[in-house]
Amino acid sequence: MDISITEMNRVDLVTVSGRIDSSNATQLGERLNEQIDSGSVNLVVDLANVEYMSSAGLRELVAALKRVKKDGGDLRLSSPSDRVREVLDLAGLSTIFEIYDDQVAAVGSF
Amino acid sequence: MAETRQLTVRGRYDCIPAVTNFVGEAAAAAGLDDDAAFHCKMAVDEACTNVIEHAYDGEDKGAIQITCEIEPGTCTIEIVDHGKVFDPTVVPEPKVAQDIDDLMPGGIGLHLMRKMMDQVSFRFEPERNVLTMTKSSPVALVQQESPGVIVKSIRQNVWLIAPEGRLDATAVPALDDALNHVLSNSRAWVIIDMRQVTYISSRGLKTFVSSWRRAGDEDGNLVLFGMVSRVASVFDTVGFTHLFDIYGTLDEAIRAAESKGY
Repeated sequence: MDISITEMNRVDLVTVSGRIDSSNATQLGERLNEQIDSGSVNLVVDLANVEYMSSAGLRELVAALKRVKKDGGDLRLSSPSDRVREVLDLAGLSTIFEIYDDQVAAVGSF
Repeated sequence: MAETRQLTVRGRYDCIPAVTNFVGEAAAAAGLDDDAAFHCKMAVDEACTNVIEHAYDGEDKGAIQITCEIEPGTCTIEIVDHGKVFDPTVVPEPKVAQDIDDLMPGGIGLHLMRKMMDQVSFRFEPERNVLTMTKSSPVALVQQESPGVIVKSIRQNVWLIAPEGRLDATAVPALDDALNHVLSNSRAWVIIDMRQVTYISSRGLKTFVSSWRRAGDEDGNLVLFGMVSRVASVFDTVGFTHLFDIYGTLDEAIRAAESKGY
């Protein structure tokens, strides 16, 4: 799994690629926490290159969402694949996260 | 005819991809489509993660044994661990609510398993915890070696077999294979789609009679529909129209199955 972060004016774009599962989800959580610790409250997590995400990944995203919401910010998702979208839907998270079809729309929503 | 495959891995998160690959192959062998196979893979990922986290309380504390039973259209997966009892009845369904504080992230894995698989059940034996999950495809296409016979699972225990062309001595073995596939040890309602059959030899007739008997032995049936007139008159001549249930359409054959409780 690769994580890269681009800091923009009003939002930080977190681009994740690869698999997010129980073997590496905590790494994603740590990276998100570092970013939030450094002052970020608005995050977009772009999932275009995430081929697979299990509940371990969902857990980290939900935890990060809770943190930024407490600080008055938000964490939004962009470009989930059909499979990842299905997992988000089944987990009931499609109503909890704002999900955009592409990164530009997600960033622009802030 | 069921095939059983088994894999044992160490209880480590990095062993889970090997398990999901193993399960994906078993699901494909059962004739499940890509979506159904994906559901099996995800459910197994979640199940193994739960075993490591909750039954073993961490990595490298024990092994996980995965068994896949493969039948046409159905894959049954059993996951066995030797850790502590993890009672799923105390993990409630996560509430889907606007207020994210109502979410229980710990329950999401089990919730996904229940959503993605047809059945999820737990059994706690002395020294072993057994999780069983099944996934069936409503219409599973079972590919045969020879292209002349198509086999489809219409619903639980109801099969459609569609042979093509001349049912002579060279073509009958493929039909025999297809019939063997579906007439395993369970009660089966087998519907033969005769619409593409142009000719039937005595060898073909023999196969139908013996399969019809086998089906009947397990309290099932073998019925036919859509015969062209040339083939229908052969059945008539040998008196088989009194032996078999013969229908005009697939619908009639399915309704007959339904009336017998399928």
